[in-house]
Amino acid sequence: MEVAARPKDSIKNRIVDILSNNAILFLMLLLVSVVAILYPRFLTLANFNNILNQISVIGCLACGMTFVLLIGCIDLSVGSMMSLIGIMAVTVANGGREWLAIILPILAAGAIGLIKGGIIAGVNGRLGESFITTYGAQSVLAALALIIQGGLFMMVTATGIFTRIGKGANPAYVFFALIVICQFILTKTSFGRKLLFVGSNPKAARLSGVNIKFYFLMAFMMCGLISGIAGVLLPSRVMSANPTAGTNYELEAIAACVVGGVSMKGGSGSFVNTLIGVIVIGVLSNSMNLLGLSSYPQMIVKGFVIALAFALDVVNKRRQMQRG
Amino acid sequence: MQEHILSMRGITKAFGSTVALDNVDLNVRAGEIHALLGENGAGKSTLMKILNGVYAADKGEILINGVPTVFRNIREAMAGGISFVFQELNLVLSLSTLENAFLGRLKSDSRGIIDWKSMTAEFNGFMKSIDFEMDPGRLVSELSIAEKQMVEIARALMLDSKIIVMDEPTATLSSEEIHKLFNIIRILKNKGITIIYISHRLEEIFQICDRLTVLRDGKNICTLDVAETTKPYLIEQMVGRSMDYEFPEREAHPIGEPVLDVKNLFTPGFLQGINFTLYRGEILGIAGLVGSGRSEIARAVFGADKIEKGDFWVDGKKVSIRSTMNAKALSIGLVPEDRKDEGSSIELSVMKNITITNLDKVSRGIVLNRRKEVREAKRMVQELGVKTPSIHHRLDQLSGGNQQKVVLAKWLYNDADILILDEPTRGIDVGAKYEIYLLIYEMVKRGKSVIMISSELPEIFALSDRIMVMYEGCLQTCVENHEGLKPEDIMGFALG
Repeated sequence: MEVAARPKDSIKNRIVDILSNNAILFLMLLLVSVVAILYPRFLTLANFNNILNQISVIGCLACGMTFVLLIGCIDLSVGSMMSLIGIMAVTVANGGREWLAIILPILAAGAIGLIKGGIIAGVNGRLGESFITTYGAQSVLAALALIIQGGLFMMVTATGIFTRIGKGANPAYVFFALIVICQFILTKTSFGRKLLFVGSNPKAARLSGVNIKFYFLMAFMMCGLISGIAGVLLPSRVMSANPTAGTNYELEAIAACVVGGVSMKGGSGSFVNTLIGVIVIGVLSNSMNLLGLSSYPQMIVKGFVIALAFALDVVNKRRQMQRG
Repeated sequence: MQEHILSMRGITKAFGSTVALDNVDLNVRAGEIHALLGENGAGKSTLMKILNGVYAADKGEILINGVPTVFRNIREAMAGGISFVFQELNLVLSLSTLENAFLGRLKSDSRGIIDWKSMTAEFNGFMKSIDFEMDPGRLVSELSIAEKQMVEIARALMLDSKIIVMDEPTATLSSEEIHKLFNIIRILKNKGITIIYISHRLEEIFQICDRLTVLRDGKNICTLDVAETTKPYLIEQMVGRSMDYEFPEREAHPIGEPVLDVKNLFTPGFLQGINFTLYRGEILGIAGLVGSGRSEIARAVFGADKIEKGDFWVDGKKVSIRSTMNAKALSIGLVPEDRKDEGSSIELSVMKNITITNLDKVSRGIVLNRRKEVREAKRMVQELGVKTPSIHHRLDQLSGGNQQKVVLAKWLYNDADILILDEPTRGIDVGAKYEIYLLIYEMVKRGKSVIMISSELPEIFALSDRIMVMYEGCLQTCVENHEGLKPEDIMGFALG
């Protein structure tokens, strides 16, 4: 086959490329500038701390979700799992064993993740199968949380380490640490490489001698463990737990990943994408708060931004394909 | 000069750094059957995908009846009077024949209720006009491939298409079905419809086509009247040199002790007690029709499919192969039939596709050593002569032949001793085929053993030391490949 130099891209094409590949970042910059001009308070340290506090728990959840999306699946049960884990953590913490209240729920969440992963690996499932399986899991876990707690709020009465992990900037540190660790696992270890390969093409991975079931299991376990961390952080931060605390968090987490550029088809994206998505959504919410938008219009705007990010991604891919 | 209903001029298209089409012209006269010829990878499909808007051309223009036209997608092309009957059929299997024939344009009455009666009447009327019988109510999933093709053709014609593009319509048809199809094509021609006919089977070109255009390596070679040419001349135009050099010269290579013994291999509902032995340094060809169980042997030996029973010995030791991990650990490698779907992940880089079989080799503990990985990938790319701008380019930016080399590379990188190659040269151009053959020879010279499955008998004959022939899940024969062996003998076994 002949290899000839390809006609150089025109400058216009290149500008369009840069703009469309980073559309979300540019949109955010625009938003930040507008809000910063209207509300100088936006650009203060206090407000940044505020944003960080707001995004950390969702950020952790999105981080776990990224593993599952990378392997081409989805996990709709992390929100209700978070609620259940929160109740478990507060119960144990109030009983006085605060270290155990941190570690046990996280391990339990990992175990629940393993079960989900086991079912999905068992049926060689991908997006569709994981959608149904985890939708079922969501229902079960949400109900369990309600049954155990009887639908009531639960105050944290502990005073030790359990109450400190969620204070101040600690959740943000946890979130950033998770992003760094996970990004390292994904890009620098053989485990991460195989996970990405399985997500990109499970058939080819299997025919390359990769144990694909193991990676489905591990993706869900990682997601479980990290959701467990989020589940412990939340009650520690707000000093209470309730059986519906995590409702709809799974959708926020998925949205953050996708807005940041993690593909729902698996095999494409990274934790840096997730970080960007989480920040974009966080800044967006914060700006709307500052602009005085009430929560329902906020939901509408968020919905449009998510749809827009997704559409941009699709359009980009099609354009790239047409140009070859 | 006759009027051109379709004129594609100076079409140029590059994928990455690979030029798929270089200043190609295609001029089709109204009412003719125009053949588009060329080896795989010559650019025929790309040209047609530019016509229907799947790809955008980098340069060039398309004139329809002298009017410059650009279709942005297949729907626009169909509205513009051009229909496509592709190899991979675009039918909805769970719908009826009638629903498929009217897909996307179901008729309804003034109340918006679907008018089945008038559609059925139109469909039956049309089928009658091409002298073909078909029950409009049958589910498409129950139809034979020929019938499915008829549904596509019907859909195309009921749209009042003036031009129909047929991409290898006979590839999967029986000779009787081909006969039927040709009759229909002739009827269409009499109705004044123009047909662009893509096929590898030269006999067919002489049977039904009026003129032809040959492409090679993305360039125009010639446009001729069919009546003025001969088959050998066409072959020469297609491959660019006389066929004597299609295969490298055979070199003697020493054949050693048995490396793989397969005894009594059964798979659920398919393989029926297969026994064979593979020797060190040997090329064992497996011939047979599609669906005869060739690929099933490959997959069973590689642990990819469940087996019912069967024993394996590798290097004289009895082993259990229950998964692809087992097979890999036993130094077996499989290059599967479907390169894009099973052989590689085309969205990932060349390097990631090569090192996936053995990441431990380039890691310390679980941490990848990037420098070492890059070095190893570069070494493999160089060793196999993979043409790629860099090892970090995505695999889908490479040509088919180079993609296939990468799939081979991943097993050579893992130093597999037993290589099972399922259709290793399918869909790649002549030059790349030749290089793959050289690589196969190189491997056996290094003491590796190769099982090569192929639908192309000349390939089996040119390379194999021994030839196994499969028929309906049974091993028909296994013969030494000597001078006196004739293709007819092998075909005899392959047909049962």
